[in-house]
Amino acid sequence: MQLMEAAFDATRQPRSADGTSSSMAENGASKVMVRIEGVSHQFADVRVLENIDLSVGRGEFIALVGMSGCGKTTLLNLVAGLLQTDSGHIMVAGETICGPRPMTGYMFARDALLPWRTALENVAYSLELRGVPKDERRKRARAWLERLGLIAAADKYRSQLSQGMRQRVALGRTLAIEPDLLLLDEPFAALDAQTKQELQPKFLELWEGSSTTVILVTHDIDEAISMADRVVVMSRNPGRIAEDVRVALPRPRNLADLVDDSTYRALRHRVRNALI
Amino acid sequence: MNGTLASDASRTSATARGARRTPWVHSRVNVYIARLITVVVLCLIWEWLAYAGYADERFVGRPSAILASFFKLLTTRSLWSHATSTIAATLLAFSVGSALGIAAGLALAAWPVVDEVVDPIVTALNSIPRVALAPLFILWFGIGIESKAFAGFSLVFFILLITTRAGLKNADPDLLTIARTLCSTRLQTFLKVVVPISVPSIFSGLQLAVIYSLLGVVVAEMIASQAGLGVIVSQYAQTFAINDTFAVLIVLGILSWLLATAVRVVESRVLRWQKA
Repeated sequence: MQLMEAAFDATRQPRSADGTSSSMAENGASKVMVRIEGVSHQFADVRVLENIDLSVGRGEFIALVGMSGCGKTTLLNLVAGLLQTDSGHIMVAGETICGPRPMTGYMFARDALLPWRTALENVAYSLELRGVPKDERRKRARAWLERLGLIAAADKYRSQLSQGMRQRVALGRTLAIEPDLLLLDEPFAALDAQTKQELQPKFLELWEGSSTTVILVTHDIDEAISMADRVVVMSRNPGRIAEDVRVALPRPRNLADLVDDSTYRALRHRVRNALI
Repeated sequence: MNGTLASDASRTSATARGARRTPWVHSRVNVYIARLITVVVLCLIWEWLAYAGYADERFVGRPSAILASFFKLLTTRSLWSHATSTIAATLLAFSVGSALGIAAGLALAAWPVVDEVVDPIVTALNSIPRVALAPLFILWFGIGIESKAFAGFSLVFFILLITTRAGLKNADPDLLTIARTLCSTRLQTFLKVVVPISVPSIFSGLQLAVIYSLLGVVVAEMIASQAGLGVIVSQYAQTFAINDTFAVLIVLGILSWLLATAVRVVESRVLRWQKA
């Protein structure tokens, strides 16, 4: 129930205003949502990831940034259980990952909506696979569409939706299962600048105040810093963690105003240097 | 006349982008009228060639006489028993051939190992001109409905197998990835993703199949059968009743068109999302 319940419960404030909730990541094992230990991976004879150690706290929002080919998507797919680790291991919520996990939500740049289903049916799809009864899943899908400002498009097919609307439906499908871990692979990358500026704050608004852990893969430094609690910079050939930067910006964040913030600019400088 | 048409065409292309004015040819009714005029003009030329003696009516027939034969044929009681026989065999070949072809196509897509084994066999069987096997089918199954339905079936089965399988090979891998991340079972993925993906190509296969099932049936009837439109086509043709032969061909044409239209109607219902 994490995201859905919390997003609309104004009285609950699990996240401190200064954004330091992520400091819990280093404390006790139960506070760790994702633990990656000594993970290496290769495709054919290309070494994509080498000896990655990373842990993500429960409720923390981290961004993985890096040039293309640094293995950030591979790392995300390993956490998702879509790929098997060659060496090392990954634990999510205390359990070793060896395949897709029901409570993990996954989303990428392409919406991957089923074109023969309406927006409503696409959101309900994830619930349907979980055996939620028809009336119940339609009710919940409708609630998500409402929250995402898409209720008017409920009965439209993919081909009738704009790129931004499609991605919002995909977000609804991902969130409808109420995941405790969200894996996002460049979810805003295929959107035009304006749609991106609408969707990013919408996503933060839904997430802030929830206890869902987020790993966002992106190559956009501004997106990473403005949204995440921590920015993990990866280098390539082979993929390694180059820098792990804590983003001490208060929440809720106003993305549009961040550009003028001196802390933000300092962070931006640091991440950019680590990237090159 | 030529001049106006040409200027009309150039104006059409000039205004196409602005779409301010509906081009003459884009009105549905006008298209039908133009088609009718084309057919009438071609028939008049044919009529005149036969009338003036440039073409020998005993060999090529004559539209006015064909039309008279056609209406005479419609009042013949035996036409209906022949037509029923052909329709029954065609529907049998079409339904059984399509059902088994689709099932085989889906099965081969689900088990690539099997596909690898049987692929050259399927290609070899499909490259045999089945029409040439019709005498053999008659030898095996007699001159009742079985042999001609089998001739149609032997064409339809492979058409559906190949189009169904081809449709699945072009499937968007993203849809399967999302299904995996949602912990979809193999059966769920098959029913909710794989089968719907194959539906558009199945329908293009059915469009072909309906025509080929009639083809198979009529060819078998022409060789040997108790009843059927193919039987009377070959009887008329062998006795130089050319106008009567053409009259039966008109009946076959109408039949073929009705069957194809029925498939198209079902298709536009099922694939509403494509046109949305």
